[in-house]
Amino acid sequence: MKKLVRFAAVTLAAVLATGCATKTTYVDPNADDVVVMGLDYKDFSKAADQAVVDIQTSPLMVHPQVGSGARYIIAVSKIVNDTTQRIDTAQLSKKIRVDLLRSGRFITTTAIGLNGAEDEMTAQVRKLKKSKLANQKTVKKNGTVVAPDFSLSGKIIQRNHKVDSSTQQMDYYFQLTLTNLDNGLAYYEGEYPIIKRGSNKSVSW
Amino acid sequence: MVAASLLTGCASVYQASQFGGFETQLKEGKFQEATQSAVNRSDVDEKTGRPTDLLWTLQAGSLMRMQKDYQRSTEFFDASENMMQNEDTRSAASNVAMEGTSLLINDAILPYQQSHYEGVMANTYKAMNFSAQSDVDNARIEWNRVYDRQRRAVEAFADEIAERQEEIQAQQEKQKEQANLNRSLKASSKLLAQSGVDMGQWQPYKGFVNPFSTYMYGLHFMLNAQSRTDFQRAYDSLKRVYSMTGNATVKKDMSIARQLMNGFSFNKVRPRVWVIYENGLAPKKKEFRIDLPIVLSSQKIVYTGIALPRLVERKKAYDYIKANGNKTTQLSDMDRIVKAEFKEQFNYILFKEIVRATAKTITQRNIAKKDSTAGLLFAVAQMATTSADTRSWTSLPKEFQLTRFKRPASGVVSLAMPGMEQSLDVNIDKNSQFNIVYVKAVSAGQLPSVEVISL
Repeated sequence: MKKLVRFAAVTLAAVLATGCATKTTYVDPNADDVVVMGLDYKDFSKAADQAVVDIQTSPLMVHPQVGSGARYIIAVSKIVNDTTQRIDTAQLSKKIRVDLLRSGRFITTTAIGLNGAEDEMTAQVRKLKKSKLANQKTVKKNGTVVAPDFSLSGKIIQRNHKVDSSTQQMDYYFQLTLTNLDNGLAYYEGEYPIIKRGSNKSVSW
Repeated sequence: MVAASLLTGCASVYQASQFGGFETQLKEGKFQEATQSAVNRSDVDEKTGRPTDLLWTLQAGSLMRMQKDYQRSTEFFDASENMMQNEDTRSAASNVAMEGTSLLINDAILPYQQSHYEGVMANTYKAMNFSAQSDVDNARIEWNRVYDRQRRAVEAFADEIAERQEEIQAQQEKQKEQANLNRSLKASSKLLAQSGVDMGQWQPYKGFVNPFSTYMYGLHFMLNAQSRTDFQRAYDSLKRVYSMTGNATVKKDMSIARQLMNGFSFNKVRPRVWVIYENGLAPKKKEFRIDLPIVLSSQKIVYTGIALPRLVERKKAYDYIKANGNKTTQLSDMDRIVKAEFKEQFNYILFKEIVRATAKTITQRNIAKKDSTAGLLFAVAQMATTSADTRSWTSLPKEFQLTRFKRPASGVVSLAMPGMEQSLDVNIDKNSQFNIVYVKAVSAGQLPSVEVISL
């Protein structure tokens, strides 16, 4: 009997709360004004855009032989997610990589990474040297993989505050660094805060 | 009268039976069966495979963790967090509807609303699941959640008290024609104190913090630091725990964290073993019935039977554990945490029960004036629906204890429990700089369950 009563109460509440079902629609990213408390694609996009502009306009980030088409090689190191949300930090680095590659001045290596290669195929295809199947003329040689000039690392941090009893504020900071691997100096550093305010009824994740 | 007492029993017996089998299985160490009981009661949705009953999802999640079924445990805790959020953000309209229904019947029919400490423990256990799976990145996220939940708890208590005060005023206004709720509340508090319900000594840890969660947070950031700021975090939280508990091991950890923060090389920290001991079971709620005075507007006082929850403490499994001769000491008293939060809620629970009893009494009197048989029937129904909400996360421990020592060259940690002849040898990773041996004992006479996390 108790379960039945609880069921009735929950159903009544659910009916009051929902009203009608939500239709699935496409979102135009340029005209999307829905804001969530957590981090979403708009935040990654915004932070990455700012970072790319800063990197491209930094005089330190210009290859000495840029006139002859030389480009800096970037290896992606760790971007620490220090928030309360399960997000893939590769979302951020990927956007930056894509934009930097498009600029024509930077290339990312997928053969070298902090915990092994992002794409192990570069190493794997060199094993074809012993293969009777592969045309040996087409097998990639050793000693041709380009070592990186810079390492991209960073951190996404989150600070939560109460504004008043019904409002909380989330401060997110996207912190990025490009370290010159020649000398270990940070040639580029950027911090991009994204601040959100919203309901304090529940947790923000 | 017979029917009445039969029905009265019904509501509380139902709740008791929900916990009964589960509690016995737990105490007897039948953890697989207990897990299955909890899963059965968590109302797993056939379509999504997700549990839908918050309380039993928490119970199941903690038992799965204990049996090292980390992935499933995390899935259950994730689902519990979703349910907690739905509870927190339910619209005002549906909240009013639910509360309204509960005021007609009782609190036990409402969906389970988690206590703050339960939310904190769900994230704590989840963080430790990830640590056990060597998933440091996800553990960090959960520890950040623990931090935020503890921060929110302090603020929430203040807000809730204000909100409830408003609600009490509103109810007062609504019923003023027929009854004096304030006077009933005052008279009841006095009577309850006389009958031994005295929560005066129950004090929270400063800021309603659970020192266990804050300690494990500090330990995690000390042992898995990604930067100097992580050592700072570790130091700050260990310092906070030390100031709350005075635990000697915490003091020693605090000093390591301070050295690391000041640039001492992490690799030079001597290899150590921490033993964390989860002891016994947290207090559970039991219903008690008492006749309390309902003050009607005519100044007439009617004594009506109401049902309230009270906390019952449970036994330790073993007073302490000796790990290679090192005795564990208390790090966090879960009894104290549960009591402090219960104390915050109790006045509101009492008030709601008085509102309910008043409304039911007035209705019953009005009906009885017109038709005595109908009045009697209503009285029966009133008694049958009177029931306290006795739900809580009962598989949490009574307390957490701690000790720490140098990593033994043998790689064996021998756990001795007072009163047990047999000791338990645990193999740690001899090559790991740090090992955490996590021990849980539910009741005496059973060998504890052990988990080793090597870093």
